[in-house]
Amino acid sequence: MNGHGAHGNDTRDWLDRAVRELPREKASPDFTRKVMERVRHEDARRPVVTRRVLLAAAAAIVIALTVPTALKLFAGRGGAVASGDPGAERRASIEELLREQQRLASDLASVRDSMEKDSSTIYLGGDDSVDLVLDLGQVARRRYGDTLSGSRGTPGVMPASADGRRR
Amino acid sequence: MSRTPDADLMSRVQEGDHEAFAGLVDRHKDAVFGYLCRLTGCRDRAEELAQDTFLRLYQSASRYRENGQLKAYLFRIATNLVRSEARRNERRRLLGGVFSSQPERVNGFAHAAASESSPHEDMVRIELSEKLATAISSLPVRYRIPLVLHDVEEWSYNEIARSTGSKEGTIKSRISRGRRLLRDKLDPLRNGAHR
Repeated sequence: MNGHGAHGNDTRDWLDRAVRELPREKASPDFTRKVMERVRHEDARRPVVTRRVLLAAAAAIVIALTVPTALKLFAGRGGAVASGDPGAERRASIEELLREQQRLASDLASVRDSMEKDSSTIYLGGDDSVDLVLDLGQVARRRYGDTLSGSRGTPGVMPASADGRRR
Repeated sequence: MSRTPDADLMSRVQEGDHEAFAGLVDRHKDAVFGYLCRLTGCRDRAEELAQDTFLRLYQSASRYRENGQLKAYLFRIATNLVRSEARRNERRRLLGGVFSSQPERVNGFAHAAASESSPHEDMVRIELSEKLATAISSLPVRYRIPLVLHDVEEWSYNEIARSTGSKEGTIKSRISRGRRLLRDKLDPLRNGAHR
């Protein structure tokens, strides 16, 4: 005790003494047995909780792994990617690149065709033997490369009988 | 044979040793139960709460860090259970008195050991003991807990302050206020006890 009983107040002496003299209660003889029963019950319940937690964790992992893949699938990456096989994923990428290359080649061919058809020239001048013209198709071919053109010639110089001479 | 320290038993409990836990229960059950009897004023309720206290200890065994204060730790769990119960009772009372708000009556408490006094004095002492137990258990919980820890369990102000997370001055003030309330409740018996 901390000495709070040392005082002259009768009431306080009486109260202190009475409180201190309160009998010490003892737990029932089977108290420990009852507690241990509850402990065993708790242990029996706990693995269920653990299993639930494990199941929840497993489900969370599966969702975390499948959702991004599914999103890729929906974004058009193909079924091979969804399989998660690295080889299949590489093959799918190569196929996609080949498809893209074919698409670009087709686009280039159509551009070349249209340029061949619309090969306009501008007459710049000349005399009876030579016409000076600006071949816009050739300008384009020089700009974008020979792949666009099947014909070659001296740029800017054409025989007087060539198309585009204005008389 | 020397007594196995609480710390060793708790280490074994953390490894799932039921026998070690039963040893701890046996060792501290009377202290926890007695404390709860004083706080609740009811043996049956004290028994339930004491069981809850040990079950909480078992559930939190993996988180328990030994600092040589297992008994204080148990008392803290018990105190928190009583506080929670007091809060529940208060809510019930505020919900229109559907449930009884009266503290449970003391029942079946052991009586003070007979002294070398007259039968009449013993009767008065027993009556006083019962009235006192009832009066303590009816104090507001904020006065009851520090008063019981100090005056019955003989904890120091500092120990109570550390255990309850309050300042020492607050504890002293609450104990003093609790005693005044007790005196007010028990004054009618005072003269009888002194006679």
